[in-house]
Amino acid sequence: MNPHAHHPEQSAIALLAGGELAWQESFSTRLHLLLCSRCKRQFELFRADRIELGDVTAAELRQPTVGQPGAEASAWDDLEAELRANIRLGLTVGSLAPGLAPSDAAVEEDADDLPSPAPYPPWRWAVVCGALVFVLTAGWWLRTPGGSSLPVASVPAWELPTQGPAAGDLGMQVLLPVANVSRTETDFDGSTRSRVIDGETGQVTLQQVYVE
Amino acid sequence: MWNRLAFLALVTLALQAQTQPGSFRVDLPPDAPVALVSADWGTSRVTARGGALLLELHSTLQLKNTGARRIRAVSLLVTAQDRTPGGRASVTVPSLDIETSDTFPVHIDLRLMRPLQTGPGAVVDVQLDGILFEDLAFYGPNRMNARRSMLAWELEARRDRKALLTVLERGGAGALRNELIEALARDSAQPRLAVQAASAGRATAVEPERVVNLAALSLPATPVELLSGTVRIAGDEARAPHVVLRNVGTKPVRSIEVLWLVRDAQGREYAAGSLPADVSLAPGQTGSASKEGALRFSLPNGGPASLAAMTGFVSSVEFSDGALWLPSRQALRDPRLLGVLPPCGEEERLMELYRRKGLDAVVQQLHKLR
Repeated sequence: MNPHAHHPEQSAIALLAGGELAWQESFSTRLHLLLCSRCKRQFELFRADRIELGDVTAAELRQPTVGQPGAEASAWDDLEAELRANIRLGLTVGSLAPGLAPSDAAVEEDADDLPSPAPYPPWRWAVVCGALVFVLTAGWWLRTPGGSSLPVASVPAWELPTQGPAAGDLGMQVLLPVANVSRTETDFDGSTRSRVIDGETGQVTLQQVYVE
Repeated sequence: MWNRLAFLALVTLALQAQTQPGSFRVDLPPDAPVALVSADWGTSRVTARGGALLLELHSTLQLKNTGARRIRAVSLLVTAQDRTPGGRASVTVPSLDIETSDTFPVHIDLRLMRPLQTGPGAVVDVQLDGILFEDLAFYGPNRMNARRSMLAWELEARRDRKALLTVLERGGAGALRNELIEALARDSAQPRLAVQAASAGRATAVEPERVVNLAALSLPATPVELLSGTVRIAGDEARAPHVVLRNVGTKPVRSIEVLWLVRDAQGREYAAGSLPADVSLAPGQTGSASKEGALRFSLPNGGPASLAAMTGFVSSVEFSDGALWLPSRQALRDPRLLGVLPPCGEEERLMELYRRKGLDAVVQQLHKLR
């Protein structure tokens, strides 16, 4: 028997590397790998890539925010909610703008005319997965405030006035440690108001810090 | 050397004493129509900053409506130190609809200051400042003028919900959707400046200070007219606004709020904040209001904004009998204001709800709170 005569599909090797191949195919593919060094190398490459991607997502997508227990879950939830909200808005605006998006009927009609697509080679799936991981990682990285232990309002609140217990500490700014701040406003006397809207529950919280 | 060690020991002892359970106290009057169900102080902590303590408060209080009326808004006073700048704050939750026996959360996320050496007692005291009911009746000591701000929010909210409900009933869901999308687009296209309170007495060395006359804008049906005003501008700073007002209505007035718009050297206009002021104006009477202090404006990229002019208009009036005047929605749709003023609170809440939850959630709110 020539082991090189019938190499398994690359997708089968990739699925085997991820432990997702059906057991019948898994058995025959594993048997082939014992005999074929080329496919075995391919298998090892897939497995190494998978471990590497797994490490990246585990380490970066779930990077905890120091100093705030539960913040990692909360930040991920925020990111997810934000993505969902923007996708919803984008779809709505797209559907309202004629000409920007083809109608469903047109899409179906066009789809009937097209020849059935050729199956994508497995390496394309790897590229797509890699791109997805990159986008998610970049989104998470941009979302995480660098060097700060707390999510902070985008607008600085106020500087301490010259009187008071921290008179010598004029450079310090007291920031409102709140995510989802929609608006902040500062009065001439230094008082700061912020408006926080929880988009999930619709609850609004108005916070004002007084300096007089 | 010994002094430093003693100081460090003192700070350590003070921090230990002040982060013990009982450091945070919620004190509601026994006859209050709300009761505390639970208080979770989460990751609240106390740290020393120079000669002061910095209190980072992250708390969720669960309150219960123990009264007979529906609650529309609640305001709490959070005090670390009454006389310390930055030692006092208020947390207000408007746009509520809490029935009798229902519980609701109040989230507190604040940073406050207090002196290192203070007497015994809680580090932070949370007290009730006011409750606004569905019938617009008010309960509470109103120490920070919570009644006025909650009433203004509620009236604005009713005005805006009514307008959106009219759009829904006349044009259907599509019309309401378009209205919300337009509002979202306006808001995201709106130019914004970062505003900071500048240190008292500071002068910009680079640019000379000049006194600029305030451009007064008058909204239809306003009971108080802004006659004139001045503000001192130096580069990116505006300081010491002074306005002259006249009561052109029929009822005595006890406080007003003026909204500011600033124009930069390139002619772009931005909403810059508000000037609330207590004034006592009988019908026909002229008076003035002024503020000390200065604001510094910066561009979104962090660079200083170059201020050229300021415009102001009276955005709310509180009469002596406690009633409030607010501009109509139509008046705020003046082309001069529409692209500059931020959306009102309730409108922004509904916009966010639409963005996150979709049109049904907004329609549900409009029907529920009609």
